[in-house]
Amino acid sequence: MSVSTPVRPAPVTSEAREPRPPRAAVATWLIPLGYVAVALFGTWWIAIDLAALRDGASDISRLLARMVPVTFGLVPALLGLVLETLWIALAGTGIAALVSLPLAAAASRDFTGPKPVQWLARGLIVVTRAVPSLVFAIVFVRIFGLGPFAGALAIAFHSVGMIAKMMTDVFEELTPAPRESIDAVGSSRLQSFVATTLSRAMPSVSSLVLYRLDINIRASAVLGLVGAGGIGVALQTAIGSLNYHLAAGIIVVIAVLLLALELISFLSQRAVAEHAHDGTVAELYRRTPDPTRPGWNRGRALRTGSAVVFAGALLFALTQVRFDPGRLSRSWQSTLDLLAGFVPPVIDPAVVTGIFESLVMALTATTVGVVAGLVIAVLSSPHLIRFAPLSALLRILVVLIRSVPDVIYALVFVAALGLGPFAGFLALSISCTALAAKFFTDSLENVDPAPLRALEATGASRLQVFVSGVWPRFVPSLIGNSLFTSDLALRESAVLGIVGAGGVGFVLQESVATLDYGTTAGVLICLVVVVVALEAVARWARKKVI
Amino acid sequence: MRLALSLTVSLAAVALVASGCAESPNARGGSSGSDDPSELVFAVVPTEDGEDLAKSFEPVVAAIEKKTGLDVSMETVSSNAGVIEAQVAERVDVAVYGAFSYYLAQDVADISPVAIDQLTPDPGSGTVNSYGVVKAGSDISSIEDLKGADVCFTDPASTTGYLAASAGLIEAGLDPEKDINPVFAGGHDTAVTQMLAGDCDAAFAASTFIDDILPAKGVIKEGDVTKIWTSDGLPGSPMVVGNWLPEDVRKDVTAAMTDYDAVSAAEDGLCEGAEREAPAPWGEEYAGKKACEWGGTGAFAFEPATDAVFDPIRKICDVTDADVCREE
Repeated sequence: MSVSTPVRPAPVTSEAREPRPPRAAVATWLIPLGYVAVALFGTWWIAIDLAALRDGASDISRLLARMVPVTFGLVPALLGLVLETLWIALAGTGIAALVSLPLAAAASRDFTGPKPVQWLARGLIVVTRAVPSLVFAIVFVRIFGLGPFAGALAIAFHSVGMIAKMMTDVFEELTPAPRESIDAVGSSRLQSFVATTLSRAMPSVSSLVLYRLDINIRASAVLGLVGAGGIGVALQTAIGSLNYHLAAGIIVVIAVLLLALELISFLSQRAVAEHAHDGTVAELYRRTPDPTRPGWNRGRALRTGSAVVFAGALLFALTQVRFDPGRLSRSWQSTLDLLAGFVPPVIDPAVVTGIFESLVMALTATTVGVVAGLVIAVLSSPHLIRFAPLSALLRILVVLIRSVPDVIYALVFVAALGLGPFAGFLALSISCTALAAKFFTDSLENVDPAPLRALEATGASRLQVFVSGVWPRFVPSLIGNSLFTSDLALRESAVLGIVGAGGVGFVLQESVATLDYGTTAGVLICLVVVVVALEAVARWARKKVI
Repeated sequence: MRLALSLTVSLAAVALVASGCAESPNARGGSSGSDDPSELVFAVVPTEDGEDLAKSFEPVVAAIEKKTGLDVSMETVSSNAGVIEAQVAERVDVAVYGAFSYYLAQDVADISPVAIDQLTPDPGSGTVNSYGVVKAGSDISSIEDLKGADVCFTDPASTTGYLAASAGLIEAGLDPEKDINPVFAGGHDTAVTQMLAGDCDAAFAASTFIDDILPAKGVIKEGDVTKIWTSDGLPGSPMVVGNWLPEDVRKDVTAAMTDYDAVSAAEDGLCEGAEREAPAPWGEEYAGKKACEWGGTGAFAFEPATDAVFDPIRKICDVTDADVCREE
């Protein structure tokens, strides 16, 4: 959360109306410079040794050879697990999306209501994001018992932090003119929000909710901690028992599921994009007898239709994760006992070292991921290269990269390089690339097309349009999403534990497994501090850039 | 602004200087797996009942360094698959992990067990058991009574939390998939706490959790649970070395483990400043003596082990024919 500095009363001169003072752009190079500095330190600290990777190529191919032929076990059982996971993830993500909407509206800096509400919303967003779903899971299983309900809630709580944060960013990136004009005619706060902010944010919002659903399906191994089963647990068991044929089969199933989601995301983004066809197709609604009510057109029918489908799916998912309310009265004592174990929090050198290791690795891996992701995103968005098969191919590639769990990358690099931070860094870089590519592609696609059309009309080349029309609108989300990728990588760094590179995820897992909840609490405090710091930098940068 | 700028620039400068001048703390000496290793890589996987893994293995590492004359770099790894794959690629020389991990690893990696946990001066005291427990006062009094019941287990790949119990059920004439309703709770502690909370009628967990850890953490109290079943003894955590190491190195590693015990290691100064008093179960002979924290389970010693020690696990796998037991 940023400490909002009081706005200095600007002298009423013509100069105060200058669109952007030149020094405002400092964040656009200071933050990349910071990343490069940490990455330099990181490369030294990790002891990157590319020759070793080449030497280990034969070990990698031997490991991969042990994954074929792919098997699926009992297919009906596997499909059952997929559906189970899908319902839990859908319920959790749906709840999170509904809760995030008001939170994001209140946390946005365009919020005009009471300040304490804004601070509370920002606080909730940061804390739910910083607390790993592993911790929510162990608390909720005590409260709600073993089963899908505790799992759905653990997913929901952790997802709120990401969905609401990204929604806030989307709301803030909208041009304020429509909102100001609606406000000027005396609309209520809710009317103004629905008519000017939510409607314009819908393409990005639906895409990020679907992306979170994708993440939640992949991260469903956490459901094993609440006895909810699902495909993530099956995958974890298969890898843990070295049954790589089955593990590969489960990954194939997950990849198919994620590709389907990506397709839905792509189609629904096109369907709900209110302004995607500005100036290219008739946006007029059909006439109705009442001239103040708009009639139906294809876009409106599609939007309403998909909203109904999603609402139906969410309702059905919620019926799949029902729980027994009578249980609550029996569980409060054991929940209190559990929470009492978190006090006093222990922040010992192991926790601090873990945070430091994870942070260095997350920032270094982000630097690699941002560069690689940017290349992928620019190639797959239509601004520079308009070759549909390439863009479709890159989108599919990114989905496939992310379908493979971090632990598999970790195992592959461990086989090639042995245990240590280098293997972990490579695995983390791959997940950062997939994250960054996804975020960047989406924000490039959502750049308002009207100014670009205007530039094209002046005869500017594609490169010129990109440099002067697309890039300046993209920089805020480039910086915001880079910091956010680090934020996610920090918590995904449990992969470092798999390769013996320590990190905060290892400390957290070990403390939970040994019931050392004081240390768990210490880790949580450190995570909140780091996430708040990253958030503060991101807010400062956005203030300077947008 | 100025502050941020100067901070970033100085950070960059420090990074440059550091990368130019000093060797990274993570830089590797020679690569392992060669005929004449210059460094041994020692990997440990946390067991649920150990705390501060890295510290508790320091004396063990010191013993190995002393006997072999080689540097040992220790890695604590959260996944058994990570260590096993590194062993397959001959990039981990010595490893300590669960008995079931050894059962899986011996199939794909060229390794041998050399020693196994011995908790007290009695040989064989490192064996562990799986317990079946119910809430005190439950109608269920034996494993046969579990027909139709909801039963909490740890996870499908846990020996003490599922496989041993599953073999026990089969021997009692029950199908562990059809005759009971299995619930995997994800952890030994969760299986027991959720059984007490009424989520299932019985729970299976490692004996150490029910005898020591959960009572010590105040999670269960004396008389909360009733034991209805105890498994046969199962092997504890083995120490495993790679067969690719030269024979003298393997001999020295084995000697380091079997020549010392926690008390003689302390006498030899392998854990100076970190000694603890010998715990009561070690008997009067060692009462009041200084001992090292000897491995993740705080064992008294490691006793010599051979592949035959792991036969109970093979037997369980034969009886249950479980998915996780299948060999490639």
